[in-house]
Amino acid sequence: MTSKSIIRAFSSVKLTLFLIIILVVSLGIGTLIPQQKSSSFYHSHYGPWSPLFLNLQLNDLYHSVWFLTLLGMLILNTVACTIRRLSPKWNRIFRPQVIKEKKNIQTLSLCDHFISSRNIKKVKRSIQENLSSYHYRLREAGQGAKIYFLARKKIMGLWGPEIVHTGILIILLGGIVSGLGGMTKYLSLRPGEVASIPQSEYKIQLKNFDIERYPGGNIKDWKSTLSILNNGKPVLTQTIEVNHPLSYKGFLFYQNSWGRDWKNPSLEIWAQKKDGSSSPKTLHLKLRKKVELEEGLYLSVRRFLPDFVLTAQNKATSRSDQPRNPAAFIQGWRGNKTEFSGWIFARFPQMNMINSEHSLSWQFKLQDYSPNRFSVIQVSKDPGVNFIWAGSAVIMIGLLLAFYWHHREIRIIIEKINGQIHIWMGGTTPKGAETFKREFKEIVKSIRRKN
Amino acid sequence: MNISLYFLGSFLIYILSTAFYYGYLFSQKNKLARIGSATAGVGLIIHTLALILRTFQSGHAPFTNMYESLSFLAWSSVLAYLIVEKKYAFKKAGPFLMLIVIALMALASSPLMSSEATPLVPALQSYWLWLHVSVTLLGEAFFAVAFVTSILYLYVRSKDKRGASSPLSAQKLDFISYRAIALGFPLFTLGGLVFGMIWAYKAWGSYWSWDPKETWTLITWFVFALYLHTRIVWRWRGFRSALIAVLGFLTAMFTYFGVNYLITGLHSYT
Repeated sequence: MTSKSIIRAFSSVKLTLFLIIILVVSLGIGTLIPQQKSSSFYHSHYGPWSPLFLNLQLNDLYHSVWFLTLLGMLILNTVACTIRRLSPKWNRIFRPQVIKEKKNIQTLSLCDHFISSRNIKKVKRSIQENLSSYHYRLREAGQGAKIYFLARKKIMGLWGPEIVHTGILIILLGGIVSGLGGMTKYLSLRPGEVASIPQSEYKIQLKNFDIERYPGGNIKDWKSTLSILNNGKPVLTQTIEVNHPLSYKGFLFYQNSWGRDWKNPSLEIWAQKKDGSSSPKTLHLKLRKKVELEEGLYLSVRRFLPDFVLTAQNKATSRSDQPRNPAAFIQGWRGNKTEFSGWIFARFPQMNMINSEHSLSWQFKLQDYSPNRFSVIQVSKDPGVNFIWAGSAVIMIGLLLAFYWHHREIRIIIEKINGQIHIWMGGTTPKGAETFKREFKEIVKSIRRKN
Repeated sequence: MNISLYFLGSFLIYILSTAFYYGYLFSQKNKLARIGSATAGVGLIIHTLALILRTFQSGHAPFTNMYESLSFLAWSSVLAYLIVEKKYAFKKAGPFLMLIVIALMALASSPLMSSEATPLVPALQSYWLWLHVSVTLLGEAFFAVAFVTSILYLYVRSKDKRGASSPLSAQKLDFISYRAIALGFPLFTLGGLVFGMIWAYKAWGSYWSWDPKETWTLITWFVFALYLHTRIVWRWRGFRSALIAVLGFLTAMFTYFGVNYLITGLHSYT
């Protein structure tokens, strides 16, 4: 196959329409089937159809081989169409033929014919001046008794479609670059924590994490103060929030989300002697930190569960990460000997289950509990993104040229017949005929008046 | 004065304007059409005031929930229509476009839509909210104009086929549909896709996530690209062009409404 025949095969507009229709249908299907879920999700939702779905890669349609092939075909199609139109368009724009046949003027929707009694040179000059004052660029042919003009302006408008298609190709190229060279990672950081930035020698530290609320209690913003560390030294510190990422050496750091970490909550336990012989105490505790309850008796919290539940095997576990039934496992000991241990419940103090060697002389309440917050920072590197912005700008310029920079062309023949100067003028524009019609009439009127 | 009174006032004036346009449609008196567009203009000014006051009251752009966004789409549609009417001296689409505007205003005032101004969630706190939503909806408003003229085209054509004469020129309807799309398409591309990608990059860290709303925006864009290609390369005119324009607007409306209610994704801010 020659390159010409390949281009011809791929440059059919029928193929364009076919590809667009297939793409539109595929895009739509992809929004109806939840994407990138586990295969068990498809089994439970689509039953007998799920093997078919998975074989057709409908679970990750936009990255499937067949979808990317369709996109690739669209790229080839666009390139082929552009190449095929390039040479005729190039010639039309840079090497236009000056029209010499009257029938090519008389068949135009805008045309006029009139006779002047002035001499041909003066007529010619006046036409040149007139068209130049309307910013037309002129090409001239013929001499003596026959002069031909081709007057054109806004020629760039003819490039509109090619510019739009170039922009689309730049964007698709950017998509490929992003897909191959892009990176997105999520870092969960507690205040003070340091993590390595993937694919770089730098580290990142979360200095502080804040949640701002509106007076009504709704979330206003999440703010993380981040430091970029180079060999342990901070090189840049900045507070990020949603919509305001931190940018450093091609990496972008986004406030993605946040979460509660119940692994090491701050707890508040109220304790009092049952006989009332001491005043009540409020103890601030972390897991495995001990406090002295009374002379020689120590207390610590061994476990904390935000949503306490007993399994069938009678094991304590948490049903969720929401503080629905917060419970703490406490232990009290003297020397090496455990005196008591058991669960206390924030919501149901009457359910406290504390086992004790002797009769327990203390009572406890789990009074307060607050999780450690962690901030989820999204680290992204996207080398394709500048292609996207460049392509977008190119598309917009192309669209404006294609729709609003209409190429205008006026063809003129000046001929001396039997001592009289005959002038034929015709105008052609692909779109926006109304404004051009007005301009053409004005030009003809002023040329006629002078001649 | 209460903001909702401005909104209600513009709603009533739009209804009045529609009545004048219908008077023109049935009586063929040009004067009624002129009054119709003048009334629509007055309605638009009062609606503009309502939007400005709403912005001051809520402290954010007037299109962050369904009520606000419907009201803004109605506003854009009146604006888009008046621009097309003035530019192409064509008033016969008025009665039908105003009907869409009234439907949007009615939907916005229905008790289903909460008109309460709520504080902005973090993701929406960006000036890209202004640029992305307003330009996209203005683009869609021009698609709405093209939708009306295309439906009218199909109606006139079916009448012509039956031999009945119609006061409307099919060719002019076809031309206005094309010009409205020529206005809407660049706006939709800029607002929906370009500004959308820039904002997504700033807020989510990725310019494209195959979120259902993004995908449907792309589908809408492809449908209008199909309209333009068949028209420019294959010289399709009239019937088939009108069908694609109608399909394009319905797709745009599905992107606008349907995706919110039927499919969840990153764009569900309710």
